[in-house]
Amino acid sequence: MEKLGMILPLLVPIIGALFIVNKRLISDKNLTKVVAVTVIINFICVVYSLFFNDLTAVHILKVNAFLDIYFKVDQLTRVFSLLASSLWVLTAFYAFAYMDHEKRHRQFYTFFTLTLAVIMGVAYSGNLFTLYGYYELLTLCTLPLVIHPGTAEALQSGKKYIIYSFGGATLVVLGMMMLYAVTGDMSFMAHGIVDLSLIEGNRDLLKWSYLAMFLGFGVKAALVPFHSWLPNAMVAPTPVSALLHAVAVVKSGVFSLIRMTYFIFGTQTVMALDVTKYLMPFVVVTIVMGSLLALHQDHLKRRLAYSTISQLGYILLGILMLTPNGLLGAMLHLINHAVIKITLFFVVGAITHMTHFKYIHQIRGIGKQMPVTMICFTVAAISLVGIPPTNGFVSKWFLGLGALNIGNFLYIIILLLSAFFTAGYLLPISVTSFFVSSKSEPHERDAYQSNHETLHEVSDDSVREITHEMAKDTIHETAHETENKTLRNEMVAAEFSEDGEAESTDAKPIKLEPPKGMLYPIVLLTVVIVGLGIFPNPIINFLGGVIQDAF
Amino acid sequence: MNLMLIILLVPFLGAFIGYYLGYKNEKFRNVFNILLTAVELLLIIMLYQTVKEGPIEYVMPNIMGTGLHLKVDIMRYAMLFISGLAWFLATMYSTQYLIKKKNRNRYYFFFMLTYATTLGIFMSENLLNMFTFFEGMSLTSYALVIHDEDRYSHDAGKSYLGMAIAGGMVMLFGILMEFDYTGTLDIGDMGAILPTLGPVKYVIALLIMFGFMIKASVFPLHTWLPKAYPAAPTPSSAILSGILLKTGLFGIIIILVEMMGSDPYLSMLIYALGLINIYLGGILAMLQRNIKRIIAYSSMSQTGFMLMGIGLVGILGESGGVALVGTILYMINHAFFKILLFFGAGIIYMILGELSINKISGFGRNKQKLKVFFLIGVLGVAGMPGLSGFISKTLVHEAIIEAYHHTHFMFFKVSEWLFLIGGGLTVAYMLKLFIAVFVEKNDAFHGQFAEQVHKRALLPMGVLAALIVLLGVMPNTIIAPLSLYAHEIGMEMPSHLSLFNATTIGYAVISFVVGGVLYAAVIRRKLYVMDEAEGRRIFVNPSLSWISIESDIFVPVMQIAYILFSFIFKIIDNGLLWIAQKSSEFFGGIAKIDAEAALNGTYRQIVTHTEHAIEDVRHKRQHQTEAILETVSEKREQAQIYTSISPEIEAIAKLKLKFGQIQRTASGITSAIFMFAFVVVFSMIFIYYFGHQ
Repeated sequence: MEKLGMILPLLVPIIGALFIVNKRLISDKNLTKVVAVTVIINFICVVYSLFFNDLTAVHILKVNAFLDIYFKVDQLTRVFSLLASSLWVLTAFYAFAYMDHEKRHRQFYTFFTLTLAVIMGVAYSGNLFTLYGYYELLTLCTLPLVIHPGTAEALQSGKKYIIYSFGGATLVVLGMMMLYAVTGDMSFMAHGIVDLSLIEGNRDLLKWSYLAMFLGFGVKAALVPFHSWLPNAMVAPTPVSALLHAVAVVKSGVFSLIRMTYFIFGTQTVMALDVTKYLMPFVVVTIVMGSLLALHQDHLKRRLAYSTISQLGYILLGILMLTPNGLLGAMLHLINHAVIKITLFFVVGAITHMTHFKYIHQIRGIGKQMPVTMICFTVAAISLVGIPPTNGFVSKWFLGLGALNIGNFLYIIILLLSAFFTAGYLLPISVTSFFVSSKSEPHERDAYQSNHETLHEVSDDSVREITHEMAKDTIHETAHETENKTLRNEMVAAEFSEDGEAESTDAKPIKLEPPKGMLYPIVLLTVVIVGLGIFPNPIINFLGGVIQDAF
Repeated sequence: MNLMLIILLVPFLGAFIGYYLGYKNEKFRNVFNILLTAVELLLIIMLYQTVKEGPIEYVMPNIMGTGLHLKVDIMRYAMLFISGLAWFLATMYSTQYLIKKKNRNRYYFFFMLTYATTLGIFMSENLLNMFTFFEGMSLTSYALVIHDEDRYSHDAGKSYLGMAIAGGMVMLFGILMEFDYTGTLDIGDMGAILPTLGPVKYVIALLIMFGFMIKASVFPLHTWLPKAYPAAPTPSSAILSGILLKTGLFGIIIILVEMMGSDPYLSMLIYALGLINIYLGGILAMLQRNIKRIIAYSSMSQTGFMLMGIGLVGILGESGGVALVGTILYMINHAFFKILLFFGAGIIYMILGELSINKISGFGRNKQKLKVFFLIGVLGVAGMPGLSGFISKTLVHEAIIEAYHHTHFMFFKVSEWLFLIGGGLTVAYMLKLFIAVFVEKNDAFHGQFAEQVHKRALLPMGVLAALIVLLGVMPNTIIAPLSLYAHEIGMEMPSHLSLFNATTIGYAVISFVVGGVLYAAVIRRKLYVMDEAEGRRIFVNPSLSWISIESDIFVPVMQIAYILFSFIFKIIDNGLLWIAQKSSEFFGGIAKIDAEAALNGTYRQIVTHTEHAIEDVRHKRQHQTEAILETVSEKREQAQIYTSISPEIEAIAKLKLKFGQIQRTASGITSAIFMFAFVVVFSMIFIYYFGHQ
């Protein structure tokens, strides 16, 4: 019974998926209900198995020391599985509202729940072999989600995704082989299983093993130069992108890296091997490149995708610092970034859902139509920049302290530079949506101009810049957009004709807030963002267990 | 609940309540906001009862991990008081000013949030709390700067927000380093540890100060200021200049005096920067034509005086009481003047929608109340004896003389004169402003707008003007508690301090004379020129073509760096893909060598050519036919040769098929499997190799 209680989180989503896939058992109408029940039961099972079950380790199938399917619960498992399962519930409810206009619901929800099972497997894995197995399964389960739209672009992205993922997994296998040749054991232990005495004579083998596995798992964690699948995977429906970016795929990559670094090799061994110096350049480039290229994107989701690359770089940096503060910062950012990024994606999804807008230049003045949504976006954006009192600041604080503990100022400068870029690519979205009016009345605009042009001595440069921007904007006006505009105008007209005041030009902007199923998760997550920022202590204490295991 | 906490929370909650009320009824909201700020001011006044006994502190654990640590002493209280007063008056003024503006609800919301965060800065004793409030203030005041939502204000807002966030990041760097070295975030505890550190303390102090310097518009970080002040609605400009500028100066005082233990080197740096600010701001203010810009640059110049005062506090050390009192008083006075002047400018803008002094010259000639209030502000800034500006200027000047007596360093003697001439600059640009707007004659204005000057807009100006006169006549009401504070933190005041005597008034006269001369010689002669088109004399601004730190240095450097890095990172971004694509294209390229088609094409071409030739031949004469037929046969022979090599064509076609397969493999999913197999084999070899060593 205890065994069952322990592996229940791994089974419930699979059972759920089996129900969902069956057309006769579950009608289309009840589909979402079953998904909701599955994810909620799964969450309850996770809580039960993590905190109320005495059993913390179970061998499902043990052929030998290598072929051993083994599940274990420790503090890191708790962190990751709680994060994933709770965000899954929110995403599920968001998806119910969002997926209205998408097709092939059954396929979507089947793989949606299956992926949850796989993520739980990743979290519960007790050794590298099991982790690797689930890691591969993750690619397979998420592929149908990525290519869900079924367009040529989606299929192309899916191809790219699978090639990168399998390539990475291959590197992991290579690393595992070399590791197993030395240790003969691959289970996760606090402080690592690679004893310092093993290093003598196996230095190169272990070094290469670490490098291979780091790069291998780094593919999923979007480590440059293995990151380009991530912006491409943006074609997926928004709930999927949100999950891909926030929890499922990228975070399982990061999770595996923490497992490997601190629970296989161990801090001391990694330090003795002195491998971080080879990997740090990758990480630094990841951070700067992600945020710098995010500045170039006009597509909202792509911008967020590049932002994810940069933020994951923060986490990797924290992992490689090999200090308690660094790891704490990385773990905090793992959680905080998940919460923040999922909020950002939800908001972008809500915008697309309500207006079909996908580009930043299109969303002028949208904050007046969807104020709550955009306020949440702004809070999340501020948090991602790392401005207190939000949770993003807390993780950045500990990352910075970690960097100082190893006496490296470059990392802090990189972190802060990237934070500045983050402000540069996220805050304009908020500003555009709130403070740039979509259509200011012509006479009013003239009045403003005549006032200000004589009033303020605008320098030539800024004028040139502005004209340049205007030209750019005009180019961006695509046929699609005009279509959307007419759509929106029609909606406005419909709204007014209902109220019987179609002639009124001074009416309040129409409300375009997304349906409750989408709005509530967004608001809830925003509250969490601020809450974790103001009271970070419980979560820091909770993570203390992981730090203790690692150091 | 603690009174400090209540003071902090009232405007914060009020912002939300006001926003909600504004949805229902705008009038309610206006009344509510005025009441709220009045209550807040009362609360702050109530706080004085406890503060005058000694500093009070309050700790609330667990907030943001480090706890919320509030402290109020006399200096902080002075800042709180001017904030309370400024917000009360500005809210009253706003209700009039904003009548014609849009988004009033949003404006009040951010106005109140800025209030709450500003109070937080002045009260926080924990550096991290202070940073939090500081960043919050930057973000909330951004919404005030860009309130008009036009291009100019967005341009200014970009500059404002960009510099604020950059400053915040640098500050955070400093705070991180500070925490790493001292292990504490409490400003009081830091004061015991930080001065004992080595040279690293300067790095820490400068990094933390960076953010504050931006807010205080210290050269060369002042570039946002002349844009943001004119862009914001006038009550916001008043707050920006009157209070938010002071948060920067307050931070610098805290760092220099409380954290660094009045470090002399840092003090000298601030002192020198102050001198630069006085002159840069002063000269630029003399050249401007927009009232708000003149006042904005004037703020920058006045910041210079206050920075000199702060520097002197550090330089004088234990005997820096006079400098400290003078600086705090200067900050209070400056808040009064600037709010008063901005309110005056706002009234003009409300009526005319115009701020250029070329267009509004002579506007105020017949508006007596406005004229008097504005004159008090102008003379106050200039340091006229009898008004409060004179007191603070005299005190700072006394401190310079004292610094010279202590060190006998010639620089102080020189800077004393520079200080007086800098005061002359203030007089000059203020004269320009006042004479142009209130003294010049202009037929366009003959008092027709008198009824549009609202009472509720004039009242705040009257209150401020009264305070300026009052403090000027009875300076001891405020100097006494400040001296007590200076004494408490270990800085002594000179026992004999006479503010009104021939010498001090003489110094003021020097400044006024210098200012008068500058006005007559430079402004009237060089800047006020005949304009052919208008047929009258107008002011010109030659500084428009001068080098600008922002658009000629900051922006190009950043643009070049941005372009360069973007280029590099774009290559990295697509590097792996590029390699994959090129190798795929390589295989594909081989496969696409369409040998068959190429050869066939040539053959067909030849045949058609031949046929055409034959066609031609039929229409030609007989004797030409033979020759042509010869050509035809020649061509036929060529074609023969090509057909004879058909086996080669076949071979190439087969090759193409094969390469086509390779190409499909290389770009398909199967390649992943191939890659997998390849790496597995490779790793086997690898392990074999290592296993046998």
